[in-house]
Amino acid sequence: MKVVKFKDVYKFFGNTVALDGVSFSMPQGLSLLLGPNGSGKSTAINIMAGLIRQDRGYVKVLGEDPRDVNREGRRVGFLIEKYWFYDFLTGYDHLMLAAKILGLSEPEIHVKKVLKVVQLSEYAHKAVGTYSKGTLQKLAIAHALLGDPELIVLDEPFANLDVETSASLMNLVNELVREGRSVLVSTHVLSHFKELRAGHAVLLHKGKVMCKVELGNIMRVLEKTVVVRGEPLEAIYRALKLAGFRCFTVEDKVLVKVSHHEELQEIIKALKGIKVVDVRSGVLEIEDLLNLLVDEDEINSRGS
Amino acid sequence: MKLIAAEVRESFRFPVPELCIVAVSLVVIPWTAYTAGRAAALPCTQSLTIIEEYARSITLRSYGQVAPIVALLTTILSSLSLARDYERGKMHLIFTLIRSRGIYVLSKALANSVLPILSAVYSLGLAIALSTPRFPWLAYSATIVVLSLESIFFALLSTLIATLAKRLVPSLVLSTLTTLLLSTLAGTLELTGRVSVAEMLPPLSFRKLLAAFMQGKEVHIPASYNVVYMLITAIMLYYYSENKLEVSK
Repeated sequence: MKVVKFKDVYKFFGNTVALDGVSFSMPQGLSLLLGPNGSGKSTAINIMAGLIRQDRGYVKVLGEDPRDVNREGRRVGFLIEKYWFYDFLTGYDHLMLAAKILGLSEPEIHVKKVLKVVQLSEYAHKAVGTYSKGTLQKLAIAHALLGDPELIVLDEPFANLDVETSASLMNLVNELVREGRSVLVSTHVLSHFKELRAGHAVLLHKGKVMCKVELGNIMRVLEKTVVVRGEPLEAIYRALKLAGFRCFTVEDKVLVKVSHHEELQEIIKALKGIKVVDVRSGVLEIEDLLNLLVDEDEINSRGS
Repeated sequence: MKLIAAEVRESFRFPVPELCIVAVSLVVIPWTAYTAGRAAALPCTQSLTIIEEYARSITLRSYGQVAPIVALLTTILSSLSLARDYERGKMHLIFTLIRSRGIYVLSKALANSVLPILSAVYSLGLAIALSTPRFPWLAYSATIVVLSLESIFFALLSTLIATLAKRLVPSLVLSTLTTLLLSTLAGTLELTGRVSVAEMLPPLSFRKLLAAFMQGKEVHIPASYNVVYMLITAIMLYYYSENKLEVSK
């Protein structure tokens, strides 16, 4: 069963095309919505949450229209990009208020449960005005988990979180998936795909679906790309080209496509005499992945 | 109810704009009501029945002076509150919990009518008590009911404008101008004698309702009196029942 379905969805904000004919579906389990900033991830999530309506196309979340006011209970929990809490209320009060708005029976039990899950019990009875950004993020996640939703959609959940809290949140996400719930995480950090071991991802770029990827494919791309940093960048690029490598320059680095790990030695050999700061494989930023995919597209189109 | 309570508490937290509004509620409205009441009470005679007559007119006169300020106060509070919710992101969070825009907007309108209504209750009570020997409880209660209805109407109107304009300053300016326009237009048409046209405007419809009630006549307001009122209410009902409100960037 597909938990989220987008078909030919367009969304415009004035002259800006936020979503340009987006079609994708997300299966049950853990899925990722990947893309650099401004790629349309938050717009897609806001449509799923019913905060905005698409201009064209159709969207179904758990088989229903996200704006349907008649449906009962909470089937989807959202952590949205923009949120705000009354700073004079405590975290516990907020969750109780949300639980009552949702019409949950025994709200105290629900609230205590989610507070424990996001490890916020210690701060629960302190005013929200005293919370750090990370603690506020945890409270927002607790909001998303209230009412045991079948699907949890988290928009940039790791923003504002330190490494330790991010790691515990990743564990929480994996735990929720193990419990049989579906989780959709939007992120612009490619390494989250690897760390979360997500089964499926949709890569958005400039409001379009760049590709639908699976963990295996991403891992292959990661393994077969070497990132070289140093100066002058032009000299690195020319030396690698001369040595017969397929490479291109992106900002402050050169990305080199390799077919196997042994080629790393050949790269280092080719760069002899040039000041190289860093050579590593398996570490990519999302923009680099996009460049690689664009490059592959160009090669494929030239081939065909 | 919990949401309304939180909204009321939020509206009583007194940052600078609210502080100015509270000052208006505590000083300007009572003063306006009092001076209107005194002016109406001046030619008062000894006869109890005549005093009762004047008590009625004091109530009406005070209502006439206070109503535009209460309407303006509600308008400013409602549009401020809604636009701020949008800019801060509170609206976004609430709409992930509830889908119906109507419930949210209604809670906003009701919560932001509390302060102006309380202010009117106390101001009118004070003005009438200081101007008449016998407090006209029935007329006073009727005035408060009508003022509350008017206040909620303007709160709903300004929340509608704020949901369309979204940003703080445009919401505030547009909704304040609309309330002022409706009140001024009603007053001007009334002064120029075009009462039948003027009574279609909400401020005069409410006054008509109050006058009809206080004069002991059967309250019967023809539909044509409330064309504007009904039109705005219909637009609001359609807008919220269809969940038209977009929470977008």
